[in-house]
Amino acid sequence: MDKVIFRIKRGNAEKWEYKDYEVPIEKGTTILDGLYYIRDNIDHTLSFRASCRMEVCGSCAMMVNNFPRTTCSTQIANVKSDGTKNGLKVIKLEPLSGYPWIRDLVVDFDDFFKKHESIKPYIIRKETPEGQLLQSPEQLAKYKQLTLCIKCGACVAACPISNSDPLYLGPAALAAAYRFNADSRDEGKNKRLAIVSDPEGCWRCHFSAECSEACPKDVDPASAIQKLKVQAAVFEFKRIFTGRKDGEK
Amino acid sequence: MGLKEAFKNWLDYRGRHIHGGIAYLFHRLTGLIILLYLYVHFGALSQLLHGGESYKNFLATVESPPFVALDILLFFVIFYHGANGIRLVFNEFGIGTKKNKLFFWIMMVLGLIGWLLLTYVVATRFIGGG
Amino acid sequence: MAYNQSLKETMEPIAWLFQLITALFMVFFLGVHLVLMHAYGISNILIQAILSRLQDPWWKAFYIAFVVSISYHGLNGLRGIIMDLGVKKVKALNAVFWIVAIITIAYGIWLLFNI
Repeated sequence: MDKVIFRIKRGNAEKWEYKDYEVPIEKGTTILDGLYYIRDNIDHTLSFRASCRMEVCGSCAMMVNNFPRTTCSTQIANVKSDGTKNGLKVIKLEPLSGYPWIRDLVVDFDDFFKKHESIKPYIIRKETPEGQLLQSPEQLAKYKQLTLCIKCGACVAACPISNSDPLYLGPAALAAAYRFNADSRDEGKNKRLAIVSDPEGCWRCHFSAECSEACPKDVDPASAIQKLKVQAAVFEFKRIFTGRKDGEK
Repeated sequence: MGLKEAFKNWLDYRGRHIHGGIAYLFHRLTGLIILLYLYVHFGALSQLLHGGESYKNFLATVESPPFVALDILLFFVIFYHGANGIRLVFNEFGIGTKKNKLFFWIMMVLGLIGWLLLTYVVATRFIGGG
Repeated sequence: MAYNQSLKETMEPIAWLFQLITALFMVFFLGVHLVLMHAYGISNILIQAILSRLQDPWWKAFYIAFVVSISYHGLNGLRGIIMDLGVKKVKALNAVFWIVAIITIAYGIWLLFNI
């Protein structure tokens, strides 16, 4: 039977250490499988989040060998070794980078969700529509990829700016802002642009594009943020000439 | 987050991709080097104000091999920043963002060619005796 | 978190746009400058060559534009780095930026006219 070593950061900010666990694996074993094995058979005190096991709930993201991944969809065979111990491959697991650390592999997502909420992630209409809001497949194609975001937080953990500037809105919130701006049914583009065109909004992004590398659903937030910048620049120039602060026409 | 921790995280290259977070970090570091050099350069240019003998000594210094070697290193820094920068100008307008890895390496090759050409011109001019 | 600061306080996106514009200018300025200074032996850095070049109004204009572009681009980049590190006092930082930028540009242009 093949085995690997999971090197897990245990504890909290006051007192922590790396603990090694031997995990048996076979073809197709995911990191999450390994975590459940450890908790069920070796150490009941291991804390981690997980739910759907199919990359749709966004609960299980953590740092795997210094890169954020959703553990339910990451096969151990596909992860490179972070050193060896007793001839066995070592995989290092740590809590998501840049988030307040609660315990073991669990971090606080309050800030993440607050930022997401702040960009008004819902369709805004001037008046309540009568009947259906129709949308063609071409119009849907413009933003469909962005709707696949599962709010796992891997993008924010990967972003160099999010890791050095806690006030930065972050790739998840900004991609969500663009998702609604690009939706033909939405009429609240200017309201959102007024929010993201802030020094801590889209202007803090410099296209390291690590967010798009980390995203398990190929949302590509990096591209969305650059398009958002162009929208925000046009919006701000218009705002200079009309002088309105709230961004309404 | 204190400034010290922010700075440490800013420099943390672990887990970053070469065409991603590493390119970003190098772009910042080369930018800082060039900015510093700007002030060094202005200082050196003020030598011209004194003219005559001091400028002759200055010319001798800039022709010496160690100085030329430093110059070539500076060109490397400039070509990296410029090549990566051209890619970023396109990216920030939304062009080429879906093919980041390819775009990055193409610009690196172009930058390398430019740097090698300039190094060749400078080195052979120097070897040839100016 | 209070997003949505006004343009006067933040300098964006005009600062962003000029960062990209000066970047493109500099590909040209630096291209010319590096070739001129290094591909012709030392003939272009002899004091006579420099003085005579600076008499030409087109070269003067070139160098003034170059000094303005590179000072703005470099210092704005530094301002960006400082903001990326989470410094929140945006207005103060911008004020410092303008002061240093104007001094740098003024010194560079003064050098051009006094060599």
